[in-house]
Amino acid sequence: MSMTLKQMRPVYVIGVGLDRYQRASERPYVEMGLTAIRAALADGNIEWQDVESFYLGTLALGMAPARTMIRHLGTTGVAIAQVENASASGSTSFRQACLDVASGITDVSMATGIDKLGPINSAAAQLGFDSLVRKPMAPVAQFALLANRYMSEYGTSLEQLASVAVKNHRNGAMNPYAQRQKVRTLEEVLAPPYISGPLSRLQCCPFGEGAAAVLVASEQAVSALPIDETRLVRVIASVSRSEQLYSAGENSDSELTGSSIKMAFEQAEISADQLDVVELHDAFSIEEILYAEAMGLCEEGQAAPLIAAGEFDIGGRCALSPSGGLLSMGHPMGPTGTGQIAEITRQLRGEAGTRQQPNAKIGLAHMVGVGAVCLVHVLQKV
Amino acid sequence: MAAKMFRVEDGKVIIMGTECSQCQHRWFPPVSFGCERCGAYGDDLHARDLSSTGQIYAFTTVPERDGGMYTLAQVVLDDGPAIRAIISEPGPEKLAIGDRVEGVSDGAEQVTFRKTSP
Ligand SMILES: [Zn+2]
Repeated sequence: MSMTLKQMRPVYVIGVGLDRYQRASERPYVEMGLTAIRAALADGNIEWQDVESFYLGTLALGMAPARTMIRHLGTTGVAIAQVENASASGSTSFRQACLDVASGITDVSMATGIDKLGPINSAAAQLGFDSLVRKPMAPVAQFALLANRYMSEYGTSLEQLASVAVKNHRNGAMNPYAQRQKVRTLEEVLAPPYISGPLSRLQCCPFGEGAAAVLVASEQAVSALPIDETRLVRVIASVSRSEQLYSAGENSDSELTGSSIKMAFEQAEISADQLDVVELHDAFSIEEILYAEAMGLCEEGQAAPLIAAGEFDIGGRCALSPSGGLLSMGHPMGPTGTGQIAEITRQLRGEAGTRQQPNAKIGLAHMVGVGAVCLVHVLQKV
Repeated sequence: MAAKMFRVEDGKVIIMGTECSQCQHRWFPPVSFGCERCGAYGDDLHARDLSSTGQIYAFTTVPERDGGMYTLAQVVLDDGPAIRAIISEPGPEKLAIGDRVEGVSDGAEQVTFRKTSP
């Protein structure tokens, strides 16, 4: 009989660190990554020598980037591996670190995500299975199709759709690690250019570079090391799923999200109404609406008007994308999923500053990735 | 490795799909490594012609580099699979979800779809 994460050894997030997400620069990834790693070590009051396994989620860095970087922390012989799972690479990196601690193989593990903006070599593209569309089709077109279907079904207005980006830019403007740190009005979000269909530029996430690091530890490590036990956050669910066959026309990312979230709630023994903060894959504004509904945060067809009405603002019933989400904090690929854990940890500790969701006790991180995959983690204040 | 994906017979576009004889699942594009529904492979998979008639499930405009624009749609074929297709006529302002469409070919390497219902 297989076990859930919650049934294994408890796993605690004890330290988080980020290097600001930003446009492509000349900075070496080693410097970016070390900045995030040292910040996480300082945050957790842990020495690098205590870290027993290390994961690096990345898409663009190329083969074997971890050791080239971590040698500058002083070599310890730590177990290392690169993790690639499309946009969910950083989430998968975090899951691997959690599983090491939960199983007892390690007492302290570190998950990171680090990426530069570079060419990404897609396996599917190399196989060349074609479609009838012989024109360039960016990923955004898929989400514009979903937006068209959803808006027509529920009578959603362009303003309601855009309100997702207004909220997330407002949140991101308070996040020192966000790529976009600027409050945007509804008029600004609705302004051209339109990248595809109803999705204007500010309703599409910026791509760039960045680094994120998260330290996880066992109960034994928490007792043995000088870790502040008042700031502990426990990981109470970890779900990793891949796409199944759905009926023609069904939105696979929503279906996959719905079934993954259901498993996460069962593992964590919680329901949607207990969530205080949620970081989700809002690469395009329509996605936040679709996934909020797939998570059961509201009825189908209700997310857009509720977001427009401020129900999912910081201070509302549940803060959606308090970091600014992918739309404002950015989507540097490898770091994105790891960075979500950093934000939720800060929120549950009550250390999110002006972005703080009052009295946050339970948070959820959700990523989807091309393929398709879905990763979900649930964290709880201890 | 662009496999042949369609042909024209008596002026009609035939979409070339694959079908599983174990579970009757049909798909497009025609990739015959194994059935996504039941895992059958090899002789259990065979070529299956699909009618190019279907219904618009969703559509959107996609800007092109040269400043132009095309209309992209998700079309659910009457024969089962949902595919991505370019709608050549009419323009997006005259399209609606649920519109009937069928494939047309200019004889070149391209199939587009046009609306058939009023
Ligand atoms: Zn089959």
